[in-house]
Amino acid sequence: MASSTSGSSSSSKVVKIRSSDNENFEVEEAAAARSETIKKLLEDVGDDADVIPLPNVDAKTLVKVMEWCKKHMDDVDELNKEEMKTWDAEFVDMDQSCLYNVLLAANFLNIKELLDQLTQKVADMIKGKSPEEIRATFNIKNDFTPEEEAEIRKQNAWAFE
Amino acid sequence: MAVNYWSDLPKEVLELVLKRLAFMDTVRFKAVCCSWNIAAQSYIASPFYIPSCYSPPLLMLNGQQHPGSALRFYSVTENRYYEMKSPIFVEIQGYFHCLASSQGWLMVSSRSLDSYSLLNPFSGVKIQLPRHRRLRTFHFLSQSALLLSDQCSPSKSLCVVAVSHGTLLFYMHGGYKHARWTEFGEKNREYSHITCHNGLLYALSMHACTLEAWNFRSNFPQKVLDLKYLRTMNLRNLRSYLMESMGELLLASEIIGGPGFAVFKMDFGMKRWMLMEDLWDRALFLCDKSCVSVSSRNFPEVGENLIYYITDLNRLRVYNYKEKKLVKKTQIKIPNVGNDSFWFVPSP
Repeated sequence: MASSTSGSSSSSKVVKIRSSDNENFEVEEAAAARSETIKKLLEDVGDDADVIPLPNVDAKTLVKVMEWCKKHMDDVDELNKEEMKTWDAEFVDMDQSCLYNVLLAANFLNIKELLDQLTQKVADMIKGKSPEEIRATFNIKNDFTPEEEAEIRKQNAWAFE
Repeated sequence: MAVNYWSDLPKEVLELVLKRLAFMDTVRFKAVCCSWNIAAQSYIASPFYIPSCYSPPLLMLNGQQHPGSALRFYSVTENRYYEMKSPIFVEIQGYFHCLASSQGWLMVSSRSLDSYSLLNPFSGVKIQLPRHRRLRTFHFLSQSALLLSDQCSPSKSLCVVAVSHGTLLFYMHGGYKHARWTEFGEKNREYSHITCHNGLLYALSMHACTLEAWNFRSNFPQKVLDLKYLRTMNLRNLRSYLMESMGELLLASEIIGGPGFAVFKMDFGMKRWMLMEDLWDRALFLCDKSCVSVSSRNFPEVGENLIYYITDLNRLRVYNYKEKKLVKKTQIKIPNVGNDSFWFVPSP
């Protein structure tokens, strides 16, 4: 079977990944393995892996995701907790379209902790806002029929006042 | 790029977002667009959905402040009031008396204390409860009731557990034709607090220094733990609050001569309550009728290491556990609350 890629292998080992727009990246294996999807692909192909293609993630987004993975490479963080928290808060503070792409990438690459941080950020952007304000924040089109919308509002009128 | 690509987020991602929203925000989330509406509805209908028992509670303003058929709530995190009008309040108007709240339900009685019901103000569902002699003077002593979640009680049935005059009572709704309140527990224990933890009901007797765990999976509760704990010096009998918090069992006790609290967590191995130095990312909402622990990781708006409580004079206060002092009114806007207000976590 495929050789194990985690644990005993040296942390300086490098893997190659390719973005949807055909850019190649060299990433430390320990960082790339934060993604369950990449980890699984590496296990499947073993040491014969040439380049791992990631057809759903463009280069710009991949750079961002790998920046996070590098920072979170070691579970036992040398940095103190507070510093990490500040770094994470600054990391998720990105523009709305970038946030969307990184969120989708984190979902596709299956990076649970990053997904948690990003969905938390989205939730925080929603909290306390009216449906109109939420639509404006995320550029969402109101696609309810007037009847549907009236019905939804009627059900929970108190929440919209 | 499509204008409305946020509405096309995969369902599983939207569910992760929903998990981090309090009830009020979920309601507004549903009104954003069709796909978010569908995602929220299927999330709430899914078996994985747990009524958001860890989301920031609303302060239900009980008493004379709500004339007509409206119920008033104050949201600490949003710093605003909500006013709910519903035909069901017209029906209960005039004899409304709230005894306890849990899992989105209120246990209410008539003013004359001879009729009891469970009420979900958001769904409008009302369930009549049977009478029991021990419940007659329920309101006047420090007593509580608790609704067991699906994980604790047999499926399709609703189980209410109450502690009244030191005695434990349970009532299972549905399934049995002649269901009634049934007493259970050890003799002479003088139970003081109950809560749900790890799918079990925990019953504390501060008088006997015992903590019991009861399993409600079968028709009659079965005791699975009976622990005698070491008496802790500064644990007061009066004004203490038992609750589940992030997988641990906590007991918060008001400090004599306060303001302030000592919070303990149960060390099951050592059989003792251990004093906590720090609540970390917890915020605790305490009152006689319900206690809620909220994680400031999922809900940063509640703040870390804070205890929200209601004083004897019906004032809402916020205590910083780490700094061991009250949070000043200038830092958090705190309204004066009426008689008999309590924390309520709404649930659909």
